[in-house]
Amino acid sequence: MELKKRTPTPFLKCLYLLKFGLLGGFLILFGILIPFNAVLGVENVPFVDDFDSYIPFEPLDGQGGWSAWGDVIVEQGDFCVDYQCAKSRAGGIEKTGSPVMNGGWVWFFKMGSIDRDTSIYPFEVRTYSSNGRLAFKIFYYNWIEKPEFIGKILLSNGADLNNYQVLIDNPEPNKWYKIFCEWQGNNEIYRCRYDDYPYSDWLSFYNNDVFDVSKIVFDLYLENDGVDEIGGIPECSLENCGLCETYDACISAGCYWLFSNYLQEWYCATPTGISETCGSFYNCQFCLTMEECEGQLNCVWEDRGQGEKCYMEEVFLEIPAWQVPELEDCSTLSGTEKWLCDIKNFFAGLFMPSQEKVNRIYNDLQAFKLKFPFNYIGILKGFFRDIEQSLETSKTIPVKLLGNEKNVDFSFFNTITTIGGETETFKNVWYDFSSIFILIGFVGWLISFVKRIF
Amino acid sequence: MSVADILLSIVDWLIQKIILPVFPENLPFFSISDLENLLQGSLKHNLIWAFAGIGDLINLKLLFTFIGVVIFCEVAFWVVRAGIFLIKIIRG
Repeated sequence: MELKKRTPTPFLKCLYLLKFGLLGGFLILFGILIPFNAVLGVENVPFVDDFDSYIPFEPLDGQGGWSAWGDVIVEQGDFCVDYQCAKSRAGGIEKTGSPVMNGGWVWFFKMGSIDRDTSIYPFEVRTYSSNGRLAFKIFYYNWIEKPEFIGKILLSNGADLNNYQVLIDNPEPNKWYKIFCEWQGNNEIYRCRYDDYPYSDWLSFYNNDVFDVSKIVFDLYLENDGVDEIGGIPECSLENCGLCETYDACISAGCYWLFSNYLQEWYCATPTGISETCGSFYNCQFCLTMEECEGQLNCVWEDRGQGEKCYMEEVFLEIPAWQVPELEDCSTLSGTEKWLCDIKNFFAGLFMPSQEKVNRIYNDLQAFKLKFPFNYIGILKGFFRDIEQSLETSKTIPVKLLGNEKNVDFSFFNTITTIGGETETFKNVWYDFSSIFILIGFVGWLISFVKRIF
Repeated sequence: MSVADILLSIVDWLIQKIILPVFPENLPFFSISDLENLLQGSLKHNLIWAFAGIGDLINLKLLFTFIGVVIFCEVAFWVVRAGIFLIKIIRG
């Protein structure tokens, strides 16, 4: 595929790299330092509260419309996400705002401990509608009825515990978690997620006579439980590209719809200094016609479920799954052969893991990919693989001299010569020689490396 | 539940409760999302755009393999030296 855009000179390329590198660094730095409140949305939410305007180290009860019971104070300093927050030694807080039919909340919470015995009521966040009925709740499960849920933070799905879903599988004490919950009162459903993880499925409200949300209650029954920065969920925008869930929403916001080889899923990314014009790679999405699209490097015009659009060509990796082999079918045998087959299956069955257990172990090992250092290594590997694969696309180099523009003629690379009786192109000869140069460079490094060791 | 299931349950519990919690997800000051944004953003775009076509002339697989080996060995060497240095400090 050929590039139709003019290729910049090496000097300009260096300048571009420097410019985009600095801009990218600035954006990242800016992203870290930007105050949390500045990105909180305030639409479609009963109320927002950051606890920052309250009298520090005093009981929260009565301040800012909060009702509190037990011992909950306004804490200040390192304990909080930002400046001030609510801190409990044993108690709870609640606040009521304007009823909202379809909306979303985000808040931070942390549990001072996860060693909660069954005699103590666990950590719980509840939202109520304007008619006083429970809409949905999030809670730390520590009872004995459902051992598989013990130690997890769950989302209610109706009132039946059998239908509850896991929000946080392995919550850690003294760690701030950022929870996002959206609800649709007209459909009586809600969904939540935490930190950067994807949303849960849409779940049913706890009660079926709930059509809005107006009150939030935090049960904070152990020392050092905390709540901070309650706000509206920021909407999909250029400042919050990560919240755009569809291609159209992402593009409309001016963000980039990309495929993460690391997470194996599509996501919406923040642009880092690339102009919004049709071009190669990340600019593919701005090409509106098939002709424009296919004229660019690494762009493909195809339907990925949202009509035909221009996408950046990406590599999909297949994730292998482990399959447990099946036992031999003895039903077709008879007599001694069947007995022997059954006995063999019995002993094999003793040591044959179930598919469910194998899947769990497989998922456990996959979970390591999300942990340091494997996640950092994985991203670096993906980065180098993408570059290696993408660089194998040839392109022409236009040159302009005295007002005349021509492409550099690389036809000499295809000149054929005979070496040792074999016909070879100059390109292949050059390719082999370059491999030898690389090998010599590597051997030189290897010698110096071994000398440094000994 | 087979013997294998019991053994796998123990391994699963060890990984979930003891091994996995030890590993952090993000480094302080440079999170995984920052790294991905950096690499998958303008850096990759510019590198690929600037050097497209070079794969016809240079054995990139060989080059990247050697670069990977060099990075791994140098980092491992540095870690070992740092470990020896720490041991020397502790021992006095």
